[in-house]
Amino acid sequence: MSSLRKLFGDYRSLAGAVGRMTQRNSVLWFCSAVKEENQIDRKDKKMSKAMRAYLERATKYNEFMKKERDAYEIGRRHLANMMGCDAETFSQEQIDEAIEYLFPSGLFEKKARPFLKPPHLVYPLKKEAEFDETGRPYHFLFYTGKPNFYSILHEGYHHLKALNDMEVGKKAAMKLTDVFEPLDLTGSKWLELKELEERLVEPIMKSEYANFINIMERLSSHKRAFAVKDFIMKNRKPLMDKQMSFEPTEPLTDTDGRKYVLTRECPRKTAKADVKVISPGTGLISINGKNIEYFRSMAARKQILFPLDLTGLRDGVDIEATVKGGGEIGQAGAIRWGISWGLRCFVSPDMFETMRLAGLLQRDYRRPERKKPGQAGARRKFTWKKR
Amino acid sequence: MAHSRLEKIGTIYTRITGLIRAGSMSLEDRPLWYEVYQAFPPKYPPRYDRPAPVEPVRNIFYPEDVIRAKFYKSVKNVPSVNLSDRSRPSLCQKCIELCTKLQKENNLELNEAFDQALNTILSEAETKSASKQESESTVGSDIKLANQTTIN
Amino acid sequence: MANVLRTFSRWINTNRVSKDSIKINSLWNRSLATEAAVLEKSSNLQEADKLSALEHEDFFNLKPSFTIKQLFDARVHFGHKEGTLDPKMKPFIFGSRLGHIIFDLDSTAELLFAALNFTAHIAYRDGIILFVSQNPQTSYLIECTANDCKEFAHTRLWRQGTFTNSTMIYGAVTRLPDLVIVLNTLTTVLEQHPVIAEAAKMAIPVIGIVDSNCNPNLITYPIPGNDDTPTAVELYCKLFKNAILAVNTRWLTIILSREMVWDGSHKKTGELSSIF
Repeated sequence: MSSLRKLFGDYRSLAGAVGRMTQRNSVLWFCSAVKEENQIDRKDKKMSKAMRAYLERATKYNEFMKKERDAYEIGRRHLANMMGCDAETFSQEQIDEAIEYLFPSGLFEKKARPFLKPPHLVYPLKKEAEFDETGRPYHFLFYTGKPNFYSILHEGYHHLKALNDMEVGKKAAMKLTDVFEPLDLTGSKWLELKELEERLVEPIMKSEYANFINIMERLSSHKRAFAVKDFIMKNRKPLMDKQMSFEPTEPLTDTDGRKYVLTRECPRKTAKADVKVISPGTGLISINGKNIEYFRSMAARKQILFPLDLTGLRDGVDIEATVKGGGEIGQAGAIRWGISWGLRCFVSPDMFETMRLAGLLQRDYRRPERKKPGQAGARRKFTWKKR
Repeated sequence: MAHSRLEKIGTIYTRITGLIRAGSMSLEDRPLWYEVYQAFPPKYPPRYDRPAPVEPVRNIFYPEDVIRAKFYKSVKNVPSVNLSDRSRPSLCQKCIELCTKLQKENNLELNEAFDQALNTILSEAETKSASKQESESTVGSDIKLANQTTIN
Repeated sequence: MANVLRTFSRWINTNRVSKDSIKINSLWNRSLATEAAVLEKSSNLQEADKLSALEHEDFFNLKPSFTIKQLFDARVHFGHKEGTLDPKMKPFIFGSRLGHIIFDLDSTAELLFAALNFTAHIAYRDGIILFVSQNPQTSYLIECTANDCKEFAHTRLWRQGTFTNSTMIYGAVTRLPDLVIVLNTLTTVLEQHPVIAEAAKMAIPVIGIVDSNCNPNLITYPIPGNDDTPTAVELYCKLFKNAILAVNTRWLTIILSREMVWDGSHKKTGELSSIF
């Protein structure tokens, strides 16, 4: 009966769609495959060696994951017990906090510190079966060992050829005949080798990655590259700086009819603040429920007031902020950035430009410099004694 | 697979047959191609040690090659030829045809026939190119006239 | 005396071997016959179809799929320079024209038909066919061909042990292809593609286009011809694709004929029921 399949191309493409499921689903698929194992055994005695081996592996993997999940559950309950919390509602965040408290670690590398996470986040995902019961693979480049990667190269060349054909004036392979624009690629870059490997679940050599970059560059520098924008952008990622747009957003409306902008997790040093700027207001400032006297030092208070004074909205808006972590200056800096970020939605474009030039919209990424061994601090040396 | 991985001994068919005969591979486990190979064995058994024949490679020459050599010796400026266009014979081909024809019809010597053929071919080519030039120049003057009329 | 004994024992040994071989031969024939009988008895029509297909000389009607003129127009007859000739290619060669090897297209056509026929039979048995080449100029074409006929392609760098160490390479037990079609048997000017030796090791038949500088010995169904010119490679790809797709049409006719029989019987029963 398997030969019949050859007649109906749809079958293979359908199966291919199953094979191309996302990584997350693969684990789920593993489970379902094992459930169906017995049925397959009865249905088709002529199952290939490859499929049998795959099912064996799948059961083994599932058993292992089940064991790990059970261990995770026990660990979670123990932690909840130790922290005096309800084990049923003990969340992942609480687990992280508990571990930081119970197993403090001075290790510099965060990844080296103790942690407890669900097993599916810790163990690498397995690729799902890439062939049917007779052992025939789904993907036409399966035997290269890296079908996902090489199909990107294949597709890339396919697009390049189509664009060149359009250029020559042959039968247009694409319908986008009106688009002549070259593609603007500023603000994004090609996926890194590791990211590509992670996405395709395949190991890639450096020389192969060079091939990938080569074909992508050729494609994206083509005159009509706009026609294959989707394919190109799929293999690019946005740059970090560009990710946050300075453009003001539309403020939301509160229950009492006033407009507000809420900015969450405004960072400065180790402080994080949630800042709500409400307009129109009367100049009320509340920081963790207190007024501006929450800060003792004048420097910190000045920091809070600076964006309000610059825009002249000191009595025009209300500020509500909750802040945690960090010291006084860090907290003040975090709130200052949150206020500026919120105010930019309430001011004129000219004032917006002034704020930008004053550096109010720029995040401050500075961190304390690390201490070095053989020295008292980051730069400070021990007192020099002759003997 | 259970079989020997020495590709230099026998052929794939003899190796698999040996395994089945010896009983280390059951008939049901035979490869998919086995019967097809049996029904349509290759003309040359794919053995690694199949010896190469010692016969020399013969040279390919045709009688008209003599005329061809003469033509290219005497004509220095050969016009360019479109190789993918089979419908139009090249100058050399025309010369060969004419030469053999003259040889047959008039019982001429090869040298004489070749000289005659070459002369006619070259004069034909010259007249052709001259007429071409003329027609081009007339077309050019026509265009000029047309331009003048439009200006007037 | 010792000599006599030795020869005697040798005589016995040889005799035994020959007897055994005769016995095995008869066993072998019987087993094939029994299997054929079993196949018939179990009324597994598909298996029977496959066996009967082998009795035809050209079951898939592939002989008219190409002409020698087509081969000539696609420049299949051009070989490399005489100095690079592999002496094992001599049986396929017509001669040397001013230092360039010219293939004998008659023998090429004969061998090409044999290869196409074999390919079609493998496809008929639902075998896996792998197209291999390492020539970047033609890799896209070959991949497209493989994709069009729902088969497989490998036109990239060949990792040593892809067949012989497949479990490690693919990370799992894997069914290897049943036929390898090599469209360029060389990786560099001097080196043979490793797939040929690996396929021979794993008892996988190989069909290969062999140019005048290639070694045809390990290739099960060699096709002497030009493997560098794009028009020639296009022609080979087209022919192999047609051969594989011809199987589908063949299947279709068989199934349709069966359905007609089934329909006929159904109608009869329908008539009967209407009578009753």
